[in-house]
Amino acid sequence: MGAEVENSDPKASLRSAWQQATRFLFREAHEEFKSCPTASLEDERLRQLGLAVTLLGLQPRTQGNIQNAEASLRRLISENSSDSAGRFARFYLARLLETHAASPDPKTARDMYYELLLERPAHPMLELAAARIAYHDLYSAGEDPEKLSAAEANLRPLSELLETPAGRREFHSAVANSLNELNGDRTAALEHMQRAASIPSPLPQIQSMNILLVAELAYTLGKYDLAREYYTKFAKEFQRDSRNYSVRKILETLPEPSEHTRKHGTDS
Amino acid sequence: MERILNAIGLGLLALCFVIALGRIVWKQSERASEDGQQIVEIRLAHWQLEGGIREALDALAAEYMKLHPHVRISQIPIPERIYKNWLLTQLVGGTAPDIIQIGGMGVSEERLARFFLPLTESAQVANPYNKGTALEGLPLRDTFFDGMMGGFNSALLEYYGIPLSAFTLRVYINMNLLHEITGSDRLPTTYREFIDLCNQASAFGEKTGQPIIPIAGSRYNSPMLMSNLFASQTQRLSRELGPPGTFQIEQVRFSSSFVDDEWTLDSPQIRSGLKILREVGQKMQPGFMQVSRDDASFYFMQGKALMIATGSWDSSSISQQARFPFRAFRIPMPDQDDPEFGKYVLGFTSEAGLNAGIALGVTKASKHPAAAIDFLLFVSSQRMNQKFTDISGWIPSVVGVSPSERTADFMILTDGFTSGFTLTPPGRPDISRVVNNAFHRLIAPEGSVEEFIETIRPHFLKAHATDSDRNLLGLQSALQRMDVQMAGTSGMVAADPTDQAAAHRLDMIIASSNSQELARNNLRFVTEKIKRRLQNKAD
Repeated sequence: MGAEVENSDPKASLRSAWQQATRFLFREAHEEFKSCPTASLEDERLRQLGLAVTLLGLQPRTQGNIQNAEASLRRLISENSSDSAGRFARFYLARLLETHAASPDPKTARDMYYELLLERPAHPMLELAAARIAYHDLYSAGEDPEKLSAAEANLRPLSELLETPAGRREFHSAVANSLNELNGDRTAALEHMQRAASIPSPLPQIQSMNILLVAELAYTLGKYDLAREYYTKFAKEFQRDSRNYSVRKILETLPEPSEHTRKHGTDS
Repeated sequence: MERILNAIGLGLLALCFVIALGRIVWKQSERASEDGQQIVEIRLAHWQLEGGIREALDALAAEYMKLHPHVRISQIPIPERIYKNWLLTQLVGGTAPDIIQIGGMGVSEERLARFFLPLTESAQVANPYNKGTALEGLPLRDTFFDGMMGGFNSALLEYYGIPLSAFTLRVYINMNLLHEITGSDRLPTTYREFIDLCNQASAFGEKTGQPIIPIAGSRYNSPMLMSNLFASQTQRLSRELGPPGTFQIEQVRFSSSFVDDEWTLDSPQIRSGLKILREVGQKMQPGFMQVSRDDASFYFMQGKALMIATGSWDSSSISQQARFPFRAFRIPMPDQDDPEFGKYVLGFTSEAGLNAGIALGVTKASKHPAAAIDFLLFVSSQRMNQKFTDISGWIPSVVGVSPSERTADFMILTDGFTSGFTLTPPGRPDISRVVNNAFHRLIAPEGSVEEFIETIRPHFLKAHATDSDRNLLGLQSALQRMDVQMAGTSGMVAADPTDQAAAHRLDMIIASSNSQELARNNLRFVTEKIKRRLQNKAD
């Protein structure tokens, strides 16, 4: 197959190699990174990052490839931990320890994510670190309501470190969904999900879930005006959803809007 | 004598050589059209061998060739049973046709990425063949009733196919037999009416001495009817299980609610679902689970069976082969007044979420990708989709296309509730094996609901554990792959920060990755819970 773009322009070559990776053509991407010309230290470091990360996707997965990827990422970090390649390398090293390693080390990964967030990376992918921390902490708390509430309270300050809309949306969505799945505090789950749903997801199936979860949580908490607002939004925006008819039936049974809603549009 | 035989053999060999040579020369001469322009050959492979489809595609190809005289379009219909192997050989061998039907059938995400062209750019611009119609100027994806989701790959986050049709499940009924049996053309609308009709059909057969099978069953057709009827009994339960936001039970919730004792094999809804299966199973011919799809179709088309449950894809074949008028109706649910099965039901299930099907993709091996894409744009224009629908009798995929008279019974019905769950949900092979292996104990005349439950009970929880373990591995591997994909997209944005398409794609991968991460954490949590429960039972 080879490169889709034959180009001696270093930026274009790097871009072409990355593009192969977006299409699951990891071997092709890896080979392209090997032969990519680079014109600056920054590009060279990004090329090294590409070589390391694509090792994680090569089939068959081998222990050797994972170890080599880890060594390359550590080298990139030791050279410079705060440039673009250094921060990506830190994110991927945490991810490697969390998901790719033969013996995962989620606790160390969590700490690495946290260190990265403290630097306010202001990048949507790097800010996924906040969501990963949320899963780690909330699922470690399990279904114990007190532990869950404490974990949720500890997570709240993380939102202050997030600067991209995607980072905030995914963090609040992670907290809200985890609390909901683990039968945690519904008021907190509602608050997080409202914040997540206020930033539209590019994937309609996720946006529909976010809106519906706000409606359903509000309904169970007796916030009928808020529930109506979100059920109505869902019914209007997702007419081809198999839940649409059920939602319209729920709307028919909701109590009449309050005086406040009639005047201001919501009870929230 | 031997010399004569040798001479005949050599003569035959020479004749074959001359014929083959002639064909090559003839084919070569065909490669230039009358105006001397190079002939472009586009080959289209698919597995839709049902009656009417090849004719419909031929008609569209003829229209296209009229418009583009230098293009030749030919179909390669491949039987479903060999499609996967055939496809793999063609793709790997580099001999794949220009256009191939995708959507399962051996076209994994890796193969899609490796061997097919993404059609995302085409999806975002107007289809020139819609000029002069109400769809003129609309991006291609917005001209499909499902937003072209039938051609979208949610892992690669790109469009790879252009869909031609859509499918629904229905019960087909022989109208001549119905009239003979009931003296009326009225179709059953509820489960009770459906069962009454089955009973009338059996009684009619006994009276006339010509036995009638009320419902033609097979291992292919029966699950379509039975799973829907079972799910009618878990419809309310699905809504009650789990935390807020749960409308339908997916794989993880199916297991987590079971391990949390929110439902058991003894729950009245489950017993009621099994009872309905037993009842409807006895309206099919004995041994139906050993019968093939073709045999069940024969029973129906020969007038030996009054009804058969199958998809709208069979409508064209049945209308070509059956010598009687037929209609099709929605799988009848028990209504809420049904004294036996009504209390757990919400109502008909919605078909609103269905996506369009028969997605056609363009291979990277195509020598004429632009012409192949242009042909797909042509067939998916409003006018041509109308023609396809009129000839095939299948459901249209394009907005504003009118269904033909025989398509009307199959159109997507959006008013309806979410479905309940079955004991064999998708992606749970071990659970399905446990249930299916014991199925005869439920359906056989000497079997019973109790016998079935007691047969599966010892294995049911363990099957949840093994299925969950397997799914967790699958999810883990999908996430690992997505990690590298996300790095790739992030790298593209870093290389060119003005690339809005890459930035949007990165946003999609971030959302998708986070959603998969939630699923993984959830599944891991539930799997551990199931294992603890198994351990406790063992202790």
